[in-house]
Amino acid sequence: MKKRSGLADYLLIAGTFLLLEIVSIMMISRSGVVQRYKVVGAAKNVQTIFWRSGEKVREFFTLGKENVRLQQENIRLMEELETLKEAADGREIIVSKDAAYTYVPATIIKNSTNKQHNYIVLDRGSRDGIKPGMGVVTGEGVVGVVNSVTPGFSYVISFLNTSQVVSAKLMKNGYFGPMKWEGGATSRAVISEIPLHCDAQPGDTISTSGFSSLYPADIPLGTVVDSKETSGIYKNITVDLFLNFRALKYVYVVVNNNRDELNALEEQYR
Amino acid sequence: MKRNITRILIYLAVIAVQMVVNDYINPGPFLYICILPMLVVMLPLDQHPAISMAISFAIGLVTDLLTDGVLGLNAGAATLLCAVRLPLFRLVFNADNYDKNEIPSLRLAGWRKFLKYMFPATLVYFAFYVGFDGFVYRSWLFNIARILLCAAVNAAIIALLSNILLGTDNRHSA
Repeated sequence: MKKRSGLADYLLIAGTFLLLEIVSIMMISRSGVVQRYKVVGAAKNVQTIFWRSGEKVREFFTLGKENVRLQQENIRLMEELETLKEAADGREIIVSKDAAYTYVPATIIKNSTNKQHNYIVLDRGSRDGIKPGMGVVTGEGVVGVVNSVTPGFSYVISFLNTSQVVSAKLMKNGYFGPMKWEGGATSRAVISEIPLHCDAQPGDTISTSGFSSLYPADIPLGTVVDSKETSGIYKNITVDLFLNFRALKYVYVVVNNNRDELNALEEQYR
Repeated sequence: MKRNITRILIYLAVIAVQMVVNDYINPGPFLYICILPMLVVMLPLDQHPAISMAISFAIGLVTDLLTDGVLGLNAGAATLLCAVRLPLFRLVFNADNYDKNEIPSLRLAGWRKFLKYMFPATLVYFAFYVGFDGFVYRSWLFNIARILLCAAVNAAIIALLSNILLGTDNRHSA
């Protein structure tokens, strides 16, 4: 094999290496599904056909589990209805026609859970009124945030992503803090910035705080596993999530009907 | 000519397999199955390193675009691996192997020697990949464990795959 020598040759090799690495790092720092879907939109449309077929096969084999989950959700909703009936006994219930949140049901056609930056693809898009920035939930927890939409699909940044944070609270005393997935087990997350004096016992329920325009308050998220002091002022709470991301199929996109008004208000104080 | 066409087909097949692996095989957040390092080490040794780096970058970028990862992760990792593969090859294999322009494979080198080459290669690849995938967000212990696990498992997978794909064809066409 021929030997290489000469300063120009080494400079060319070093220059190529540096240039390509810089380009890679720039892409990583700006990476988002939006750019990718603009670059390879056509290829992605073909891929969604395969994803849909794959999901249908998976669905066939997991129908039993899904039925059990839906039954449990039905029971929970019936119980909730009974509780509301009892609470409303003898009183008039005022149901607002302009509810703060409405929901768009959607089915997952692609879901990754094995990366540090996981994404979900839904079978609903801008045609169904879905916009970037909307939250995605199920009755068992928070799924993620819509990142970009095409007319027929939505690309959601999963909660199982290093960039996702959900404002969570302890239901029994209302203490709240940011909850994040730590990158390990898909069933565990950690709430930070909880004051040391806050009493958090294993088994206590965690829910959304409602302090963001993405998700309504009181969606159950999980239960406390343990808590650990971190900086002398705060402690971290490890949470066992209710939501099984690996078996996720049907979700709801949250439409906050007051979002534009809230954003306009926030803009005034910026 | 025929050998080059075979090689291009192998490259396309590996990228297609990588897409299927990304979409349907889910071993959990600790492990990312990635067979791209095999394509980088398969590149001809006598090719100008700048060209090899450009090809490696392109292979990584195509994979990034077609799979739902972070754009640039595989491209950067493949370029880095390409930059270190020659010194690594010289460390593990002898000058005769280098002069014959041989592709490192299980049949050529045997288990021990091949893994001695492939494990550091995948280690370099995943050091970049895991590092930029979330080193600042995760504990160093988690990231080190992830790098080691990914490097070990993928080196073993690549060893088996190279044995199947390369067969006795261990020489790059001139």
